[in-house]
Amino acid sequence: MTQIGEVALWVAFILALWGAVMGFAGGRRGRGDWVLSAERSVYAVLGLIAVASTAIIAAFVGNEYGYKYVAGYSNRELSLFYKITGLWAGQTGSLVFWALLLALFSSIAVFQNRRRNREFMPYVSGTLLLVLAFFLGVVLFASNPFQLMDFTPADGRGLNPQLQNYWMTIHPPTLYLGFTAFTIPFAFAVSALLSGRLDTRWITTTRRWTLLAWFFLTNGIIFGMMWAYVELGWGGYWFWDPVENASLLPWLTGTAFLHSVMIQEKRGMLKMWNVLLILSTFLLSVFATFLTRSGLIESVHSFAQNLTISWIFLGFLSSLIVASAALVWWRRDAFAPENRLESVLSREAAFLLNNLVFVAAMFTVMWGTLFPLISEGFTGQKIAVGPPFFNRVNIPLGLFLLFLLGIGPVIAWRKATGRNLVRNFRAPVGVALAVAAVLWMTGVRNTYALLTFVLGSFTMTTIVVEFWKGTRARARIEGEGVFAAFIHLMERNRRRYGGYVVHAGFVVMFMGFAGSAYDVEKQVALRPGEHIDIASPFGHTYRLTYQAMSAYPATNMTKVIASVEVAKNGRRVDVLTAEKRAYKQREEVASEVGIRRAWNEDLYLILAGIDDVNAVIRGTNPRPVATFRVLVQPLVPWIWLGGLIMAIGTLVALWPGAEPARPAAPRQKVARAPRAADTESERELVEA
Amino acid sequence: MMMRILGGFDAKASRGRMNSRLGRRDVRLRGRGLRSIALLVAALMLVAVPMTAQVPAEEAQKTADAAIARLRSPYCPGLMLEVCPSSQAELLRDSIRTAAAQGQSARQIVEDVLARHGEEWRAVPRRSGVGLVAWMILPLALVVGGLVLWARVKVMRTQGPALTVAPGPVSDEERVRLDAALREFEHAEDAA
Repeated sequence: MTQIGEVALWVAFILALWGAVMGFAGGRRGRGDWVLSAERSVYAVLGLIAVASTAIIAAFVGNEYGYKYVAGYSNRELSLFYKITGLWAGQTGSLVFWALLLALFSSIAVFQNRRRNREFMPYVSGTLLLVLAFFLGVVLFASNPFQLMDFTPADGRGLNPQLQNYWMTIHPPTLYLGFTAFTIPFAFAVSALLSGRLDTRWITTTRRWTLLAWFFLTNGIIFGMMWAYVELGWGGYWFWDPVENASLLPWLTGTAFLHSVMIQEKRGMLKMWNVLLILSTFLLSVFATFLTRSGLIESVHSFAQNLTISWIFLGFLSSLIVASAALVWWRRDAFAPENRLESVLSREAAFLLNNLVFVAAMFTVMWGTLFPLISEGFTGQKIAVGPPFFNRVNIPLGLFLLFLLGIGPVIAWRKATGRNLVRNFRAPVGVALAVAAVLWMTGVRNTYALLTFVLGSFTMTTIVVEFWKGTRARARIEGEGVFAAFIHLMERNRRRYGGYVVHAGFVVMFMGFAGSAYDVEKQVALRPGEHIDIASPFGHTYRLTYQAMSAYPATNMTKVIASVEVAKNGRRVDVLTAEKRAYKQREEVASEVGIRRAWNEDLYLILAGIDDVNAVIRGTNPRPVATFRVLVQPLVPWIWLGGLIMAIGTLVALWPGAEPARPAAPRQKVARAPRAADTESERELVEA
Repeated sequence: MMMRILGGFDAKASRGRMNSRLGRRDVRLRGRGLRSIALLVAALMLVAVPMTAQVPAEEAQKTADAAIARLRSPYCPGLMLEVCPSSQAELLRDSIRTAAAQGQSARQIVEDVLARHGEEWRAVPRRSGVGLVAWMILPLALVVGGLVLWARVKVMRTQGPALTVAPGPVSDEERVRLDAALREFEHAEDAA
């Protein structure tokens, strides 16, 4: 099976190269048969990579430790579930997995557009196959999953303990789905540049792809936060690790793109900017993949360093940057706007400001992530940049974004009047001021937390008012009940109202982040029967009583578990367990935390240390002293709730359905100067 | 082997630390003589700690927390010292708390730790020298981005045709529906 897998990879690589050449040449020469060959190559490459991926999984399941990759990430005692996920456990397999997902998305995109957008498809196929050829080339020449060792060990090294967690089976694939899905709009942008069709067609065609990519990337990041929270065992969910940062970079530019693209759709402006944003988003996705697996920068995600791959990726990235810049420069005359910006008090201007903040945040995060390398390169001294730096520079930007989130959707397109502003912002400002007063009176003094809640309430009010106005107007016009009117309102413009739901989720998530200003933490060593009291910022007190410690062997590991009874204001409410797990093959220890979740806070228990653990395992010390770290983390559940709301909002916007019916209102006649750059299809659209 | 692995998180090494902190650990000493010596040492420590502490405990804790928050852990790749679960990191945190209790400032403590472990464990870059370059990026990005945006907005306000709306043919029925919709929408906005 593995031999078939390796051969499949080689054939896929050759076919991807062939298809790329056929796609570009077919588009250039107008040869339909060549283009068809390119499109069929996409499907064939998918099939071949699927065969190779199946072969890798089969090698894992069949315990074929003669293969270096299998021996490095599996062992006999590993459960079947984690053997299957071994495909993306290490660098080599994850590159194959990247290629598999990209081939899948490429096939869907090519199939969807096989009869429409014919002018784009040759270059789209060519671009997608070129990217696929790159990844397959890296796999075959620098990181082959079918590489055999000189000998076959009896057993493998096993999977990294931190990866033996259910979130790790979901988090990487979701993130990769996001990264790879961004390749589709990228390919269409390249195609638009090559074909000269820089109107809104490529944007409307890839609208759902962009949203889908954003959906996966957002959820992938949130799943990563959840994994860090439950698995790393220190009570945090985001610590500005280089790899976390790398996943955030395309998210920032992708989010900027989702907003700025609306200006192009509505007003025919920012054409070049949108192309640049989507090109950057894809480049940053590749950069993130490279950073995750190269081990170039010290990170909890980097399990090995592979300088060969680093150089190959750098070469690919550099080539893409140069090619993209050259294409944009070549088509610079085709980006002429169709309208002018009429006022700085308009939604267009608010979106521009939003884009500035997103891009500034992207530069800051990228700079901070690469600064150790840059400083070492220039001065010979590695200067690290830790979470305090990122928090200091990004929290003000985040707060400004929260403010813009309230402004953008409500301010009018083209030009807002003073009356319009007063009418739209009267209620939100009133609510925000009331929230500020209440929080101040209840003793909230942390500036960032206070600002987050005030701006969050401002933004949330604008969203609620938007929903209320739309629902009420519809209820009156159509004579519907409020609930029916609300549902129909959402149905009629899923993108707009789905976007509002995403914004609401973002606000809830930000409030969850702000809760960290009131974290309470205690560390104490206890004997069984002893307790620790910890006060919640919400006024109640938890008493944690250490009950017992037990140890027992499990498959692949030995577990040592502490049981702790939790009482809230004197009433017993829960029993938490916190564990230490010692994994046999890798000789590593991992923590499993105990979490008591409530709607407004988490009680987080970490087993930090055990006195004379060997005696505990032998059963000779039934009452060992254990050191516990206990945290009360206010509003952490709101972060996950916010993520869920964002996911629901994106699904609402993504859900297929009839486009909103155009009103039979007077058609706007746009007085336009004729442009030489008008293409035939643009004229067709205007006439239509 | 299992015990050797688990020894990695065995708190035995830090028992002395916990004993001194809590003053209630079973030191498992055999013999009356040894116990007496232990009691004497414990009593001396109890007397000595308040004598050597030059700052109130709460203030010392704040100083220690501030210092710990500015350091990355030399024992956990990519993690801050404050959250690193390693027992060596716990020892380092304890030494920082001791230094804070003895009256050292957070800055002094950080410099001392970095002198011993290396500059690369600094979590917050200096605001001078090469470190200043790290801090400059956000203001620079905002200023340059703002200037570019300002220049683009100026161009965008003059470039491209202005939008003019000419009345199109609307049926009477459509006109009535449109007026009603606009009126209702206005009412809804005013009510909100």
